[in-house]
Amino acid sequence: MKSEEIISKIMELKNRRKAILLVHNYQRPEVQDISDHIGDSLELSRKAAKADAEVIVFCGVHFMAETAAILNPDKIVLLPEEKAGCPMADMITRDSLLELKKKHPEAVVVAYVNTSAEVKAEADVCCTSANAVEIVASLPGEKEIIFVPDKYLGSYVGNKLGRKMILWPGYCPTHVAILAENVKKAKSEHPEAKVIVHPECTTDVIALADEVKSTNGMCKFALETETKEIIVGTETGILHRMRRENPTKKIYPVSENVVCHNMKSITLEKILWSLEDLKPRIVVPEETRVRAIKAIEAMIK
Amino acid sequence: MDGLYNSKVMEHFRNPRNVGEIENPDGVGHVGNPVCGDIMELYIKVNGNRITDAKFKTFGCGAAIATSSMVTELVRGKTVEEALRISNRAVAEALGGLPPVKMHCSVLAEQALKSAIEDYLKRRIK
Repeated sequence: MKSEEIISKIMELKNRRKAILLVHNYQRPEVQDISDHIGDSLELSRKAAKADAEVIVFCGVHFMAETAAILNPDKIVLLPEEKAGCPMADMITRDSLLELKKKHPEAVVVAYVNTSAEVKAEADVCCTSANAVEIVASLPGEKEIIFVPDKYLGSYVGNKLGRKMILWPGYCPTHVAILAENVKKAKSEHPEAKVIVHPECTTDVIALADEVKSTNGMCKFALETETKEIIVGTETGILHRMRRENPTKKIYPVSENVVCHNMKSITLEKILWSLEDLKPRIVVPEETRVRAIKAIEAMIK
Repeated sequence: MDGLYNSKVMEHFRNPRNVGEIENPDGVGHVGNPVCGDIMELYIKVNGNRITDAKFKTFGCGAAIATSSMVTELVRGKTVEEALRISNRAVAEALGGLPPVKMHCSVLAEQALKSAIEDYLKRRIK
């Protein structure tokens, strides 16, 4: 089947199913192009909660679909590729978090949204890469803080606030593969460009950047900056959106190799199959959901 | 061929380290370059968070064999995270440099390693 055929079938089924297509900034270009909303995980889940839809097709990874399911218990949430996971989110389990909490019973637990619903259920408050600094800054100064699962986002926040936190040794395999030498090379090739990187990058890479931003923060920066050239240090899927939104600016990846294969495992065909069969469906058990939503609501407040 | 490659590359080509398969590997990477036809398969064994063993099977040119051999040497004893930060340049430098037309072989070696680690991270879940 040609992709135009697949797309027209998707659109037809989408209407029939009263479905909405939520697409993460790292998805394939052709998937981004058919989205109802494109953005980062939290923004998309909030959009979903407001949407007049019965079915949410989440083109992202497992924890994102789970978050959508937590916020939208009455809607059917589909993840077109069930195996699209987040290796970082998988680096911490509920049991291992409980063990750590036992050692620090007084600590506040901050969980990055890149965690399973089960882990969120054991956390006090969630954060995204966009609001992590703000969330941690809002916690009482005398409180001990456990930050999971990304040690690099955790150190970035800790350094920014001058606050020591108990970090979990997790990391994003895609972002840690960005090296300082990649940034230096890109800078020497494009000396006029501003460098923006994601806070999941390693500390030495962050030190070389002009701005540290979430994916949506990067897109906003690209729109608003006077700079004509930007070097982007995150998953290369974001370049498609940025270049479309900023046709007169030159946007370069810090390296072509920054690819998350989990994100890329969702294809037009899989979206179509998913809408046809209404699966794979992501369901969060109610007991976990009501506990996890507290941590998410604590963040939104 | 001695003219094209330095002695270290030649040495790794003639006596490649860690050739073969690992039985019950924790991760397998499989990559190929459709342009030149090189194919690499890289196997890793992970204990705790450390790569304890790495082996490879490569069908390709001298540089493809040498970069595969070198990447398995570099990766042994490293943590998974450290291994993710081995760049193609690091592989080429460890070999004392590669001719520009053969740099893509070092890219392939880096990709084979990343693909094996990705497989390892996936398998760990279920």
